Parts: sequence; C-alpha cells; structure tokens
Amino acid sequence: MKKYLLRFGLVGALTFLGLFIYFYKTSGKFRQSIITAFVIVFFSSQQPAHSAGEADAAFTQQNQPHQSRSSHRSGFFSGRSSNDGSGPGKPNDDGSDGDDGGIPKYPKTESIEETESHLSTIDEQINELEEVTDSDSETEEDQCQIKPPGKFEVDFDFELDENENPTLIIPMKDGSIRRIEFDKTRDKWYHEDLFPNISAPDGFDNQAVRDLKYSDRLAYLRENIPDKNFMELQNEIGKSLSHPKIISVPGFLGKYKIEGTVDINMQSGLVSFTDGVTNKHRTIVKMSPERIQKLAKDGFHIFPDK
Amino acid sequence: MVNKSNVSRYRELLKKKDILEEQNKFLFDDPDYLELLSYQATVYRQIYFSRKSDYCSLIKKYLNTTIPSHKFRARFLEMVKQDDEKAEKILQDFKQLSSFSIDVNLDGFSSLFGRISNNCLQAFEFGPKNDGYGIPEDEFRNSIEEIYFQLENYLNEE
Repeated sequence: MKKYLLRFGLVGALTFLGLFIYFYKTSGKFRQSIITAFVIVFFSSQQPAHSAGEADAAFTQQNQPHQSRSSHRSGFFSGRSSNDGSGPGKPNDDGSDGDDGGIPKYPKTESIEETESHLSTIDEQINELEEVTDSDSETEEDQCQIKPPGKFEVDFDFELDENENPTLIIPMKDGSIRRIEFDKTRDKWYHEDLFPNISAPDGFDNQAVRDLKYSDRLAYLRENIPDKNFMELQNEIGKSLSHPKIISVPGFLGKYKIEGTVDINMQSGLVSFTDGVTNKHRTIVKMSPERIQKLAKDGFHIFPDK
Repeated sequence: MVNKSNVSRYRELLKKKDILEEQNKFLFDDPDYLELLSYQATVYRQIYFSRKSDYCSLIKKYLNTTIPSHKFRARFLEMVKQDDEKAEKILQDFKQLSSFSIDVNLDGFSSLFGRISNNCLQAFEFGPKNDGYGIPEDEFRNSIEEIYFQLENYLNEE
C-alpha cells in the first residue's frame, strides 16, 4: 500500500511539473501557472484509484508511452532490414496464430523489466546498424579520396574526365572549390620545380624544356612525362591551395579581365588564378614580393596588359 | 643604404605580419604589411639593377635576332629566378641584410624592368595565341622594343 502511495505521489508530482512548465511557457505567468497546475492535479487525484488494485491499473496505463516509442523505433528499422522479431508495441507478436479477422491483436501488458529488456535489445541493434553505416561511409570516402584507378595516390576528392584522368576538387577555407584538371596541369608540368617534393623522370632537364618553343614544349610534355607525374603536380598544387596561409582575393586574368579568384600562398609566394565561373584552376606562378606588391596595386589583375 | 635601424624595422614588420596572420587579418589592407612588401621589393630591385648590363645584353641579342624569342624569354625568366633566389637569401640573413646597400632610387628602372619581365612570363605561360591570355610574336617584339628604348634612355640619364 505504502509502495503504491509513493508511486502515486511521484506520478502526481511529475504531472504537476509537466503542467506547470506547459502553462508557464504558454502564459508566461509564474504564479498563475503554479495554481492552475496544482488545481488540475488536485482534482484529477479525486478520481478513482482509491484501492491498491485501481492504483495498479492506473500505473500500468502510465507505461503505454513506452510501447508507442518502441513502435516508432521499429519503424526506423523497417527501411534498412527485415526485422521481424517481436517487441513491445508490435501487433500480432504474441506468438499466437489464431484468426483475428484482420484486427491487430496487441500483446498483453508486460512488466517494466521486460519492456526495459526489449528496449535495450533495440538500442543494441540500433548501435550495430549505426556502426555498419559509419564504416560503409568511411569506405566510400576513402575510395573517393585516395587514388584514380591504378595511378597515383592523391589527397583530395576527384572526378574522372572523359579520358579517365582525375580532376582534383580542392575545398577552400571559404567553402568554395578549385578544380585542378589533368590536361591543364600536364601542359604546365615544367612548374614541377616550384615543388621540392615532386620527382622528375630520369633525364628530365627542366631548363632544356623551358627553352623549347611553346608548341614543342607542350608536345614534349604530353609525350614524355608519365601520367603519375602530372597527378603528383595536381596534388602539390592542391596542397598549396589548401595551405593555411593562403589569401584568396577576387581578381582578374588577362587582357579581357576574366573574373575569378587569385590565391596567394604567403608561405611560398605561389600565386594561382582560378576562373570564377567554372572554378577551373588556370595557372600558378611564383611571385617575388615586388610582383605581389604590383599585383595588389593592379587590383589583383594578373597579366593586365602588354 | 639599408642600415641597421632599417633591419630592426624589417624584423619588427616580420613579427607584425605573423601576428596579423594569426589573427586572420587581410594583410593587403594593413599599412605595416604594405611597408614590409616595399622593404622586400627594394632588395629585389637592387639585385635586378646590379645585373642590368646582363639583362640589357640579352634583350639586345633578341632584338638583333641573335637568339629566337622563346629562348630569350626562357633565359630572361631564368635570370630573374636566379636573382629572386639571391634576394630571398639576403632577406633571410639579417647580418647580410644589414650591410646590403641600395645605390639609387630604382622606381623608374623597376617599372620598366617589371613590364619586360611580365611580358616574358605571360608569353611563356600562354604562348603566342591572341586569346586574351597569350601574346602574338609581333606584339611581343614591338612591346619589348618600345620598353627597351625607354630603359636605355633611363639608364643613360643615370
């Protein structure tokens, strides 16, 4: 009896608290909310449940929300797996296979311990499912970031172009991206000397290649440098662009003032231009402080005029 | 003449730049950073100026058609690269910097030299196409001829 009175008191207190919060939130009046909540709790306690048996029934009623919450969780599972196990709140899960005429037959009331046991089983299943989902997404991410098939490992996401060569997607601090294309990088591979980490093929003479006519230089680079070296340069340009000491400024390129972004790596003095419409990286050059000073004076316009 | 007091100012400006970078400030709006750039640029200019006869000789060879345009550009840019590396080393070595001297006001030289250097770089990077990026060969030659004429006059007046 004492136990039931204690439980009843607890339920009353919780109900009072709930009602008070509700009224206080809606009306904003503290004293009025207390009085209203108290009156409601007081009058509802004058209803039946005078005996221990009635109190027990009332307490069982209070457990119903547990069942509806479990039902919601089983709905969460239904999209991903064929979970047909029993659980609280699920119709027709009492093991009987009698004809019910299509009317759902709910289980008999279960004890708190049984409900808790079911809930913990569901929680475990959710955790397992979340772990599997996490490891799946990590695998996809790894595949996306690491390497174009059979070629060079890169540190950035990439897309494959029509020749199955990668275009690296470089995320910038401000949320924008730079697209470093394979073909463009290939034609400017002589810039490998800007990056100490790049390995040149045996016998490659940078100055001799720079001495060639423009068209001969392009032909030489396209025919003589392995693809993996171009990707290595793409990756190094990407690292330079994502360096913490990058300053990105709206700027222009060439006679026709193509709009885009000038990225200045303050550590190395490397200056890049990226087209503002296509996000394609156009060029990278090393600039002395004198040239950077001039660039700033020109409104970050690279090669403004002849 | 870049004397000791200037070097101490240079060190001060370098520290200020680090602070500005830590604070994620936009450097090009800051007068101290612009002063730092000017200071560094002065050293680069002096290095280029000290090799003016080599640069002029190379330009003359190109204009006299002793060497083709693509070789001229590559050589010119290679010389600039060598000088840039030299200037970078001096700016990192405060002892050397404290004894580094500036001969004259080099603004006029710097402007003309910068235009030649810029044209060489643009033609080298983007080729001879007239697409807004590259420079056709005849335009390139005319521009170098014109700038060199001004440069010669400037140097003769010195």
